[in-house]
This record gives sequence, structure tokens and C-alpha cells, in this order.
Amino acid sequence: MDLENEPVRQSINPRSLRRGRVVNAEGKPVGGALVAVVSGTTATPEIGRRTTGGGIFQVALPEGSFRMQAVAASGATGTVEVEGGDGGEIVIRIEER
Amino acid sequence: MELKSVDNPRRKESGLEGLVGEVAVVEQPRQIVGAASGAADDSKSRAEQHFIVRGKRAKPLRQPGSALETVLGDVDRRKHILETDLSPWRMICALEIEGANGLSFIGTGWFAGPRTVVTAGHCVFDPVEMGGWAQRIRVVPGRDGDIDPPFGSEVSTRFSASDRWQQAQDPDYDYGVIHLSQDLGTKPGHFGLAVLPDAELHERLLNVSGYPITPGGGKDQYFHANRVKAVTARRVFYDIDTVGGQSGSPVWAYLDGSDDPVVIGIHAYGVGGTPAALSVHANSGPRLLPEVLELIQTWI
Repeated sequence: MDLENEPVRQSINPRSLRRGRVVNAEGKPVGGALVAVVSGTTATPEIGRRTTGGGIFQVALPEGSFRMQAVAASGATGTVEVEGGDGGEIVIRIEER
Repeated sequence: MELKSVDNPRRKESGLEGLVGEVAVVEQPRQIVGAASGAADDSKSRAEQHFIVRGKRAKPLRQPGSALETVLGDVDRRKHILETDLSPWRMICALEIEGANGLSFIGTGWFAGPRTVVTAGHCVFDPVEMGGWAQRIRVVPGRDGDIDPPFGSEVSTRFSASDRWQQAQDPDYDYGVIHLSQDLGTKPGHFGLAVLPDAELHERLLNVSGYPITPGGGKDQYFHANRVKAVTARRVFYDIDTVGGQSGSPVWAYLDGSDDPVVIGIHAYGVGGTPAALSVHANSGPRLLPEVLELIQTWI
């Protein structure tokens, strides 16, 4: 293999950037929540995302089916089932225990 | 070999390090680089005595009960590590990451040298989700909640990642490093590094510890152990429970009766996308290969 001439490649695991929002039961944004992909049909990086003060996060998802979880500073959690690839906003509703 | 590191603002590097692995063979020669226990208190932690696993095992420590969860089973068996000021836990760092796009992320890293924290490539560079290179990363060795960090912390703006990760975000090459300006790792010590042939990885018991989003909000260290479930030429798969935030965690073993913890892989991915030929569902990370070890040593 001629490594010197190996071309720069496109991503072998294409992911689509999706905007997401974490809200509470009243639909108000939850800032500082942590968000992760907890299961899926395609491998995704196990990084955690912290929401902005407005409850906003971004996640890059390949094609597939995924479950995402958000955890508020209070420890309350919420989950949502998501189809990967291009799509609309992902909303995770936190349910206080 | 060209040292690839990045000082913000970012600059594109070129080189061959990340591509060399394309010609990797399955049976790698055995290579081991020793650990350093660190200058701090060398007492044994109770967690090390009770939780750490060594050697090999023909069957998993427990049978996973689900197919697609990164917590592999009906019960989350991870253990909260309280003695994070003791080895090897203190060699593991909580990461607070600020992306190029201004968004915040959490991850995990581990000392491979006094100024070198190894992590997943996507914790330092992600052109999609992070908008490119991280702007800055706060590194907290042995973090234990909100109490004063036992070994201090440092905010770094200098990172490296394998070329192949930068170019193609190939999960098999998903490793990088955070360069520190101080010897933050002298007291905690650092992990050893091991390249093991497939036969030595087969059924080997492994340890993983890091800083998940839950429990603990990325501030508490959680540990779990189980055995190697499968290996490919560049990746190791294991049924060890992990959660988002644990990207970059060390996947380590103990070899030849030694008490030195040696990293054999870098945790990076939850289940899903496991090669069908393996017929397993498992979490995974890139394994250490000769060129990966060489690259990490270049970064140290």
C-alpha cells in the first residue's frame, strides 16, 4: 500500500448534526443537564454533552435507532427514542422523581 | 516521526502515523511499557483490593441480559470509587471540554506520562459535534465530586489526535491526547502501556473506570470489570458497563503477576455497530498496537 499517496478520506461513519433541547415537565428549558446516547443500533462515541442555559445541546448521530438520556443537576432523568441521520429537533423531557 | 499536536487556533497536520495501522496484522508482537506508581501515598485502596480483576476467565463474570444497552444487563454493576487519591484511580482524570462551537462536553482521560493525558480522539477533536478541535479542556486527576481535587487541575489548550481520526473519524483510530504544561501526573503516577497478541487478549479480564454523566454528573469515578468478548485487528470488545462521559477511559489489565496497571485499549464506544461476524454486543475501544504505542510515546 502506498501510504504516501493515501487520499484524505471522508468520514467512514457519517453522522448528521442534530439540535436538541432538554425541558422539564412544564416545557421550560433545563440548563446544565447532561445528555448521552445510552443505546443504539450503531456505535456512537460515549461522550457526555452539557446543555446551555437555554437547555440546548447538539448530537451527531449516524443512521440507526437510538435512545438518549438526559440527567438534570437534581438527578432527575428523561429519555427519548430517536431515529438517527438527518431529522428535526430532539426534545428530552425531564421527569422529576 | 512527526509530532502532531495542536495549539489553538487549530492547524491541519499531515503525516503517516494514523495510516500506518492500515497494514496492521492480527498477531501483534508483545510490547509492554511499565507504569509509574507516582510520588503520592502508595497505600492500597480497598476498591483496588476488592474490585480489580486479573488474569483470564473462560466465562463472563456475569451474563449480560440485554442486547443494545451500554449498561450490559438488567443491573448496573458499576462501583463508585471513593478513594480517588490512591492508585490506580488517581491516574484517571475527569475532563471538562469546551468545543470549538462553544458547547460543553464531559469525558475521561488517563496519565501516560507526567504531562500527557490520553483520551478518545473525539474528546479533543470532532468536526461534527464539537465544530473541530476543543478550545480548552480542564483536566482533574482523581476527581471526587466537588471536594478540592487531590492533585489540582489544569486547563489545557493543546491537543493531538491520530491523523486517521482527524481525516475520517474512523472509530478504530479514535485516540488522542491532552498536553499539559505542568507535571500534573508526577504525584498520581501513570499507567503502563501494553500491546498484546490476540491470544493473550482472549478471555482476559479487564478493568474500566471513568467519569460518566450518571451517576455523579461527570464528577464521580465509576468502575466496572469483565472480560474480553472479542477482538478485531484494531479494536477490543468487552461486556463492561459504561455510560456517556466515560469516553477515553483506560481499559487496563495486570500481566505476569505484576501490580502495574497496563492499558491495552482506550474506551470510546457503546454497543451498536459491532461487526456482525463477531456475533456479540459489547462496548469497545481501539486497542493498543505497536504504532499506537509508538504514537503515544511520541506524544509523551
